[in-house]
Amino acid sequence: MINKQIILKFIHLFIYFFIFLFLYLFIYSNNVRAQQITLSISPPVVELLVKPDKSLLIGYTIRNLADPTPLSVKVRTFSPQGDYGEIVIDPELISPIRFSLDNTDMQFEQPFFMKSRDTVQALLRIRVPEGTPEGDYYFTVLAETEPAPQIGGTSTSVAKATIGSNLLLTVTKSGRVEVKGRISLFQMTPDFTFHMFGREYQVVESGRNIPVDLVVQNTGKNLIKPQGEIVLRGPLGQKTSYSLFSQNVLADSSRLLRTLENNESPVLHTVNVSGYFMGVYTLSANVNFGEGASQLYANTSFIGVPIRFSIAMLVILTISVLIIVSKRKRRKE
Amino acid sequence: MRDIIIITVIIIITVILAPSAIHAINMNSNLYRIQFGSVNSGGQKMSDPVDGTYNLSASLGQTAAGQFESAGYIIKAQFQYIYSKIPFTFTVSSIQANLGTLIPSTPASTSINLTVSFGGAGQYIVTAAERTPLKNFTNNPIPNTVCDGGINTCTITLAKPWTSLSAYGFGYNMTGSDIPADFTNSTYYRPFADLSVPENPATVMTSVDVTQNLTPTPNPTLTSAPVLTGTPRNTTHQSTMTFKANISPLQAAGSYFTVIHFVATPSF
Repeated sequence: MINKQIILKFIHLFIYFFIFLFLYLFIYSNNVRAQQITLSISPPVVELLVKPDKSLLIGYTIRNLADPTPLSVKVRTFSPQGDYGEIVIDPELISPIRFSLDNTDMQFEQPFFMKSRDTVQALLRIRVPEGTPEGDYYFTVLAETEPAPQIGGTSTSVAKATIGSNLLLTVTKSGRVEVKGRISLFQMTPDFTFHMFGREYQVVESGRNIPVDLVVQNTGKNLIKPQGEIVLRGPLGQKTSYSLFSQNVLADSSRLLRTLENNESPVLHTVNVSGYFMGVYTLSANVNFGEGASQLYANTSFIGVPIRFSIAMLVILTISVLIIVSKRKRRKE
Repeated sequence: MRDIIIITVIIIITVILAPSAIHAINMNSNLYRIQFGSVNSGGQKMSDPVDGTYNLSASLGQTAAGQFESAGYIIKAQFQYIYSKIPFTFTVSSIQANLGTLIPSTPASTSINLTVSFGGAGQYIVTAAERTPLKNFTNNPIPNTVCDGGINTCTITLAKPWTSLSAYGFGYNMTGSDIPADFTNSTYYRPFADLSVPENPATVMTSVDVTQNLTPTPNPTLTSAPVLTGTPRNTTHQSTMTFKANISPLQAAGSYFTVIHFVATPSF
């Protein structure tokens, strides 16, 4: 009888323990989620002005903010592409500049394991050998994950994530750089154009935003930082200025400059000029490359016409005339 | 009654023992040494620990724009025209995009999210490319999609509609922030650039305005608090990449595999 009670109590205890385990493991278990990659790198861009036969060290902070992953570091050359600041990273590193990692536990292109929320500092040693030709050299320091092996049985695209930081290196013996550039494009987008007396006239609808593009071409062998403004002058002498954002234009490339105006348009323009335009307006671009450098100037003009309003008025006028004429005809009849 | 009391006690104990989130932050490590640490309060002078050939003076935060001079070189870290404490960060929501077992003339699709955070001014670019076309274990590849074909023939830089069940291949669609304008809607696809050809990776996300708020806020006045006119800073931009595969009846059903290489870089 006593034994039966003990067994019963033991069974009860087991049931309670099972309920406890059920609540603890099933209710408080973590959400299941896919393995994620989140990498950060700092600084995002580094500019260097170096004499030949010099060596220097730059620390890149790489953080793994998601799941543990193997990671490797490498350096590749890049070249600018197009007018919008895009780059093409070369598959190999072919350059007279020499790179190495000062870290004792890290080598180029050798994977190392990064735990979740881990931070490493890649100590990049840059050596510019004596006799390195003067000019600009552009590199991207890349931290990339190693793709996970395929899980059998399903079709899978495995993600390999790489994060990069650009390194703009100018080699110069004297410290002087070649600053040469020109305005290769300064244009607005009119609604239509017409020619009269050998001149082209650009016409825009009065109420619409006018996209303006300003592209500067670097004709020198070192990067340049154009500064300046775009000025809109109206028929009554009114003036609006848009300051240019100082962006790098790399050697032998062009770049669409931007202004400090917030540009929400999905299509990239230097600035979207807004207002209600009536009459002849002039847009001018003043660009310089720093103190002492020569000024570049370009201008264009347009005529603001309330096209939609005029068409609407014309339609109303036509309809009104037709109504009046038809009424008069009826009266005569 | 006693059982109810015991179960209630168990529930209470379970609640008390509920695990709370624990986050560890590595402040230092013996695996690396801080050369240009983020000094966010005050500055310091330091010399090259290797050969002592130069001195550095870091003022109020290396994370802010700065210029370091030494004999023979000048370093400018970060963007010079705007300060940032948010590093350039790139997230891929899942390391695997699982399309399941592919069946002829039955399109399979799956999505992952790409996220970029950036406190600095300037542009960023995310490119994507495939290491090889999707292949099975016998190295039989699924060709990259040309979408519906004819006038709707897509390329690695131009998305076109892909809705026909008899249009076979492997491609991707983009929706969300900062995506190329040719992804008009969710039926528009592109093939991946093939690194084995080799082809240049295609841009899948880019923005010149990431996280920046360039609209100046007014100076404070003595009489009243300033009214802030700037738009709120959005530090995260996210897009969704949808993978799609449709195999022909001539293609073997089964499992196919490839590696998609995403590269996120800030502009220069």
